[in-house]
Amino acid sequence: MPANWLQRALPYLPKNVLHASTSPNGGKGFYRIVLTRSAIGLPKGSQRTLEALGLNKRMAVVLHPHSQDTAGQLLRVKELVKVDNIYGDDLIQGRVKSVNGPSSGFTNVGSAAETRRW
Amino acid sequence: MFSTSVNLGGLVRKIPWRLSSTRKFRVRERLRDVDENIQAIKDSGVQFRQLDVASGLPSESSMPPRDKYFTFNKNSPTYRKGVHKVPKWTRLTQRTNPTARM
Repeated sequence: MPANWLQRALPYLPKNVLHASTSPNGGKGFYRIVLTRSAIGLPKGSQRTLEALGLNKRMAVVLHPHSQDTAGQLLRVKELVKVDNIYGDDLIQGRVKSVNGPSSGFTNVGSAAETRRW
Repeated sequence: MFSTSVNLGGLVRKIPWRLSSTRKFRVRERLRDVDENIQAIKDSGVQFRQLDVASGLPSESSMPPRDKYFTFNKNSPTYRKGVHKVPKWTRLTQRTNPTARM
C-alpha cells in the first residue's frame, strides 16, 4: 500500500470522510454504507442513528472511517443498511467502481453546440 | 383498522397463519443480509461487547426453520406463532428463543 494512499484517494471521497480522515486516528479503511430500508415507524433511536450517520433517504451512500463508534451505530441499524469495507487501495486501483453508488449509465462525450456549425 | 367478524359486517383483514415459500425465501435473504453486515463490521477489525453479542447470533445457515419462520408466543398452545405476526418484523432481529427461568 502506498504511503500517500489517503492523499490520492481524497478526491474520490465525500466531504464527511475528508474531514474525518485528516484526524490522526482516521484509520485505514472505510465503511461504505447504503441505506436499503427506511426507518419509518421504527423507534426514534433508529431514526436518529441513521440521521447521525448521514443517511437521509433510501439508497443514500456514505463513507465513514473504521471506528468503534461507527460500528456500534451500524449494529443498531444493521437490518436497514448494507455495509461494505473499502480501503484506500481499492479506491486507487478502481476495485470500488463508484463511491456514490452505480453509474448513471451514460457519459458526456461533448457538447452539441460545439458540433453544430450553423 | 381492525378485522371484524363476518356477521358484524365482515371487514376481513387477516394475516395468514404461515408464510408462503416466496415470503420464506425473502426472510432467508434478509437474515443473510444481516449476517453479511455483522461479518463486514467484524472484518473491519473493531472490537467491543455489543459486537460479540451480535456475532453470537445464530447465522441463517445454522438456524432451524422453526426459528426462522416462527417466534416465541406464550399464549399459543405450542408456544409458537408465525414470525410475520410481529409488528415491523422485516426490520427486527429476532433469532433466539427466551431461556427458561429456573
